[in-house]
Formats: sequence, C-alpha cells, structure tokens
Amino acid sequence: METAMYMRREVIGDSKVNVTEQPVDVLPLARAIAEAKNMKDNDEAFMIINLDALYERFKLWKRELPQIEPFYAVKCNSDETMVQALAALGVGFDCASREEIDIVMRMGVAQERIIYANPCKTRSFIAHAEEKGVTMMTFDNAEELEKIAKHHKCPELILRIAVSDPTATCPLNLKFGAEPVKQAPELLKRAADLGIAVIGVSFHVGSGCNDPSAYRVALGHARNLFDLGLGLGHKMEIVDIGGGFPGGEHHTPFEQIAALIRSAVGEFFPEPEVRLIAEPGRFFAARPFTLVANVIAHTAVPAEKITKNACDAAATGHMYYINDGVYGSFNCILFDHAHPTGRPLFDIEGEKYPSTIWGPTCDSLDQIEDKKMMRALDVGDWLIYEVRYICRSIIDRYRTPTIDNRPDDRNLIARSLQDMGAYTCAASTTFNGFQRPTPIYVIGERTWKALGM
Amino acid sequence: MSSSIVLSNNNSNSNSMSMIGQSPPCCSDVPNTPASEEMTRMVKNVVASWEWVPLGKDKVGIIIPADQDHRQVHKSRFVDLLEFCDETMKVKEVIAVFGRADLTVAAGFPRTLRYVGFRVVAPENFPPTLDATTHFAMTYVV
Ligand SMILES: Cc1ncc(COP(=O)(O)O)c(C=O)c1O
Repeated sequence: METAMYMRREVIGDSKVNVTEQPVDVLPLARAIAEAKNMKDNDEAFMIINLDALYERFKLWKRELPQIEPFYAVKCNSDETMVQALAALGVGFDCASREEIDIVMRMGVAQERIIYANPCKTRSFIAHAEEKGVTMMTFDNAEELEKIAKHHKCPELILRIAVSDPTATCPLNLKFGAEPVKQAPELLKRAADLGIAVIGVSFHVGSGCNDPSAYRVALGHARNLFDLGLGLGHKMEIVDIGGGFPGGEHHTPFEQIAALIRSAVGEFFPEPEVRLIAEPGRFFAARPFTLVANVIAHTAVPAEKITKNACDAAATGHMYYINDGVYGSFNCILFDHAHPTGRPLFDIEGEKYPSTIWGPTCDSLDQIEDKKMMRALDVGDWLIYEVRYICRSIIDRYRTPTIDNRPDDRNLIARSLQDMGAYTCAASTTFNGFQRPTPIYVIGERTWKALGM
Repeated sequence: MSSSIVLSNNNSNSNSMSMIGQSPPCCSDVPNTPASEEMTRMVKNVVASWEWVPLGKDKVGIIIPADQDHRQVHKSRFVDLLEFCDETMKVKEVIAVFGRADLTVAAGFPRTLRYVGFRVVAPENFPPTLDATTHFAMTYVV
C-alpha cells in the first residue's frame, strides 16, 4: 500500500513490519497513511505500532533497573508482534491465562521464560500449564496450593503477598495476595508440610502506582518471608516485584521509582544470587500504540445538550461517532479511569465547538470523550489518539513539594495520562469479536538491527 | 468527584431479581436436572443472591447484583464455580451478567472480574436471550 513511505518490509511472526530509514516519526506517518486511505475510500481505523518506542522503553528499563529481569504482563496487551519483539530482546512473560501462555509459546518463547500469575487458577488451567511445561506460578491461599500440588508434577511456586498502594490509579483489592505478616508465613509452612517447593515471593502494588514507597514496604515483607522460607527448607531464590510502572509521563517519574527500588533492593536483597524479576505491563505497552479512527457519523445538536448548561441553548454543539470505541481499543475507559484525548489528525484552524465523541455501537456506555472543545469535523475526517502529555501544569504542580496537592489533582493527573496501548484491546480479541483497527507495524532501521530478528 | 462510569440509576432497587429487569434471563429458565440443582448450589455457595441461567448450548450466565462487594466473594468458592462450569456443565464460556442500573464498571465487581480474566462482551455479541440495553456482560473462556 503505502510502500513509498518505507524503506522495505520485513516479517515478524505472521505480521509485516515496515522498516523506515530514519527513526519512526508517527504523526507524519499517520497523516500519510490516512491520505492514502482517503484516495481509496477506505475509512477503516488503524493502529500504528511503533517498535522504536518499544525499544526505547526496553533501553530505559535496562538503564534504570539493570538487575531486574522484566517479565512483560501479557494481559496488558497481547499483540503478538509486540510479544515477539519483546521476546527477541530477551524479556520474559507474565501470563494470566491459558490463552496467554499459548500466545507466548507460539511466538517461540521457552517455558522457563514464563511465569503463570493467574489469581484464580482452575484445575484445567493448572493441568494446561503442566502440559506446556510451565512450572513457575504464583499462589496466595491454601486451597490453591493443594490444588497445584495435586495437578502439577513439578511446580515452582512463588508466594504472592498483598501489598498495594491505595492511591494507585488502579489499586488492587486485597483479595489477590496473601496477607504478609500472618497468613503468608502459614502458607510457607503448609507448603513445606506438603513437600511443595516455594522458590520466591511476589507482589503487585497496583497499576499507576503513585506512592513508590509501596515497593519498599513490600520488599521488606519479602525479605522476612525469604528468611522464613529458607528456615523451613524452601530454596528461596526469586523476588518478583510485579508491575505498576508508569507507561508515559507520570507525576512520579519512572526514574524516581527505579531509584527507590534500587535502594530498597540494596537494603533488603544485597545477595547477588537472588534473582530479581518484575511484571511490567503498561511500562512497555502504553507508548508504542497510536490509534487513528474515522468519523463515521455526525449530528449537530444544541450545545446545551453537551454542556448541560442552559445558557448554551442557542449555540451549536456536535456529536461524532467514530469507528472504534469502548468495546474495542478504548476498553481502558471502562476499567482504568482512563480519559484518552484525541485531536483531528490534520491541523486546520477553525472555530471550536463543544463536542462529544462516541464509539460505533449506539450503546450508552460507548462514549469516548465528552464536552470536548474541537473544530468542526466532517464524516470521513480522522482523529488521532496517542500518548500525549496534557495537563502538564498539573503534573508539574504535583512535583513541587511546596504546593498543597489536593487529592483531586491525583485523579486529574491519572486521567490526563493516556496509554493507547495499555489495557486497550488486550487479549481475547479472537473470541469476543471486537473488530480491531488494522495494525500497522513500523520500525526504524537501527532498531530492526538491534532486535537481530 | 468520581471519574468512574455510573450507569443511569432510574431503578434504585438493587436486589438481584429486579436487576434482571423486564426482559429474560430469569431463574425460571433454569432446567430441572440434577446438574442444574448442583449448579444452583455452587452459585449460591459463592454469594447467596447470585443466580444463573443457561445461555444457549455452551454458555452459562451468572447473574450478579450491580452493587456486589468483592470482599463478600470467597475466591476459592468462585474458582470452584468456574471449575464446575468447566467440568460438569461442560460449557465453553461463563458470562457474568450485571444489570446496568446502579452499576459502576471501573469501581465495582466488573473490575475484579477483569483481573480474573473476564472480558467485556460488546452489545452485538450478546447471547440472543440477553438484552444488551439493560445488561452489562463479561465473558470468561473456560
Ligand atoms: C499480578 C500483576 N502483575 C503485573 C501487572 C501489570 O501491571 P502494570 O501494567 O501496571 O505494570 C498486573 C496488572 O493488573 C497484575 O495484576
């Protein structure tokens, strides 16, 4: 199609990947693709997946947390080409379902590089893990422990404890993870009694962690449990610090979180023989994805209908319907308090009107943006949704310790951070029939060489 | 200010029968077989107010109140229910069904279910007996 924009095509798994001579620049690329589609009357939404951005995230991780092996949390986004690129970089995988194990293994990932972290393991899921040779798995209660012992021949268990940052964008409820002081030691004992190997401790502080000291608290608990486990004869060797690392700009920047983790690891786990791993999801998946969707219907309405302000009765507002929504790539709106903000793909000056943007389903939940001030669009126009840093001033304010940070700001910040690739069309696109936008993979020549695929 | 989605609450009565709304499914659709009785017992064992309905040949719907508190749900019993659906009912999908009135997706039980591996069902993929305008559904592949 738009081959002129690229140097050549390569293949990753079943996907074609477009290689560019220079590092990928998404906006001009998105415009060129949209123009090419316009010529062909093709209005399908498309997702640009920028593998340069993925590689940048990987390098950032290696720079900041070189001693911690990332196991990408596939539940965040199971895009197979991204999984394969991460596999090429030597990343491991946190799989939460049978389907995710199958996806990752189909990409040629060895079972040793998988940790099975489903919080509700059924017998058939455990049997499936065994069949696939996956041995590392988490547990957090006695019933699960006994079930794994019965249905898996050689499990290597990681005790999951509950330590969450309650201010995280998505705090986890405590049901997932054993209480660390009383319950977790009992579980280590029970495992020893049953003769089941526990090889480590894991936790997940919750996605969008705002208070990185949660990692330190959790590492402190993990240390105690390590010593207890060693005393009980378990060969404790793994500490899994879970996910929760920001995917884009965040008021606690990744570098700051990483510094705190390095220092806590130095304090609690100075032994070089302890294997440190993490389960970042959003950290890798948020940046590389940019969605471009098409306006498929439009109605002009009294602005009052949008602003809910009687003074706007005489003014004009607009409702747009685009060809992707909360049942597709905007799934994050339903679950993650995410408020993606799009903009017209082509900058044209014009009067701005109160506007609402809906997905394609006519469903009352399928609203993408509300009360947005935007220039008028026509059917056939394109909107782009990317990771951008709106509300910058609020982020800066939050960083300044002298200013009183009201809790509202936290929500605002959380909302302003858009992660088009994180928890969007994650997993299961095969069975529930969401129509995915056409994926377009791009990679700069230098990154392609670095992947060595 | 809450940023979660609150569905219209024109019906504030949240007991599970009224939640099912005007349209089927209804617990009277549950067949009268020993496996069904056992299924009802397994469902009630998780939370007494939960109900279930067969949804076609290879799916079951678990009807959950919109205001379900995750702390009242015993994880092991919930896993037992999933296993029962898999091994005895031999279904391919377990569909969690919520009434839309009073449901908060992001802050409520749907969010917990997502951690377990349930995924949203788009309205056009709803089982034919379930009204997509009055329900919210999430599916789990057994
Ligand atoms: C156990 C576990 N690990 C890792 C993750 C990934 O979290 P994040 O995307 O915030 O890194 C999750 C997300 O739900 C999780 O539940």
